Amino acid sequence: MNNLVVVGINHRTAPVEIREKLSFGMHELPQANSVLLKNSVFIEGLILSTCNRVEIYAVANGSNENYVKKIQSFLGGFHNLGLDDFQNRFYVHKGDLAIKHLFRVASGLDSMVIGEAEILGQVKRAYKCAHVNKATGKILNRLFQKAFNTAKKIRTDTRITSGSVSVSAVAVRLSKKILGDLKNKKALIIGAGEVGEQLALYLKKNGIKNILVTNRTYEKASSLADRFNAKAVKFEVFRDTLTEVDIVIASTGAPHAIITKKDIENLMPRRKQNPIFIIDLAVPRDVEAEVNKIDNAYLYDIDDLQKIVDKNITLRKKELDICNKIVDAATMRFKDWFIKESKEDGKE
Amino acid sequence: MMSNSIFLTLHIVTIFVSFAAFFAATVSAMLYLAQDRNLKRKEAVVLSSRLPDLDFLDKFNYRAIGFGFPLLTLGIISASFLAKQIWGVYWVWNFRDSYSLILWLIYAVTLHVRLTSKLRGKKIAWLSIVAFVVIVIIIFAGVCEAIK
Repeated sequence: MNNLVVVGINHRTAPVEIREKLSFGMHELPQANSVLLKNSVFIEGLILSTCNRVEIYAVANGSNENYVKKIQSFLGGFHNLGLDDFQNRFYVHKGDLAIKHLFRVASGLDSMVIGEAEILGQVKRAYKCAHVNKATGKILNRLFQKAFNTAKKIRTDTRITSGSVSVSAVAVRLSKKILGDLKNKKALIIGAGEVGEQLALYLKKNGIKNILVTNRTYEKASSLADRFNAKAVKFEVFRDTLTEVDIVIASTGAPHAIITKKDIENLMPRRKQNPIFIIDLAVPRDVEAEVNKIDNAYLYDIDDLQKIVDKNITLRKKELDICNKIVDAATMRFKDWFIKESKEDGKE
Repeated sequence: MMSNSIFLTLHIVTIFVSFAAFFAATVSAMLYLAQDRNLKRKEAVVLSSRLPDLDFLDKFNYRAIGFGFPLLTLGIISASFLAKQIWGVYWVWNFRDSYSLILWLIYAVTLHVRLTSKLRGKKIAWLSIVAFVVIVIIIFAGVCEAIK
């Protein structure tokens, strides 16, 4: 069964400068698939190209042992590159190791962020493209179906994908837990720093349309506001906007708190007790910790968010054992089928 | 006799449906308190739990009470007409009737403070749980009467 092979590079073996040289755009895939199969050594082939990996899955015809070289030279040829420089960046898995590798990739176990779900969609698209172009056959069709099943099983049976693993993602999910749908909500960013900007962008991606920006230097606020279609507010009057916003992101360089417990206590009746979520990314902190004790006001500082992120990462790692068992079992089953199939083909 | 049974049916149906609505409101209030506690304590579990968001739970509680309250009012009115026909008086200050009035008052206050935005969230949730304790007392009293 050594004629099933995967040759590739990923974020662990090659930096982005190399990965981008070898990657395939979606529009290039049909052509690339057919170039790969023009090589009579291969009866089936599939190209998976994401920002973190470029992998060629192939089923070779018979016992020709040269096919790894053939795949590498296909990659070099297609991209007009001499491969000598990154020869050692490639990993090669054959037979059951190739099966296992794909199952791990599709399930997000091989990803930079363990358990991320995006990769499954990318694998599905790569498969669909190869399938439509008739580059896959009996073996890769079944292999990829099994990979999707395994990924699904891992997602439903383990907690590997549960829990966000970035501060921004945690903050957005908390916002949703407090405020529900974010579409009609309003956010205020205090301080035109980089972290605050990142989080604001992430909130925007998650549906928030209405964003206000304030900064001690008004020009900075307005230039940040311009960048993502927000409204700049003068620092002297930002407290007035607290009655209308639902999320506050504070990240100023102020040496002491700029929002006190008293501020929020006075604010709540004017807000008609509408819940407010305050994210304090500043060190030293911008918001008095006591604010969290006020009803309908929720305050998280950078450490609170980081603690949740760390817990989620630990949780994911703990789940890895279970995931590996699922992958091993699925690999065994596919291997059995593959061997049986090869024997039957031999008889014919 | 005819009108008797109309009032009786009206009473039973409205009280039954309103209690069901109040039960739903209470469940959402309890979930609200659990979710609020997780959020205030900054527990990581808040993101992995399947509890609905606070906004949903708060609105659900409010709407369920808003739906149940007019029915409860109707239920109490039909009960007093029923009492008039059976005992000749609209209101008997017995244990159960007194608690019905207390119940009505608690929900009236709850709706009022929620509508005027004086209170929201946790305190409303507690109010609706207290109200439900009163419901349990009323049902218990009813069962006791029936057994006697």
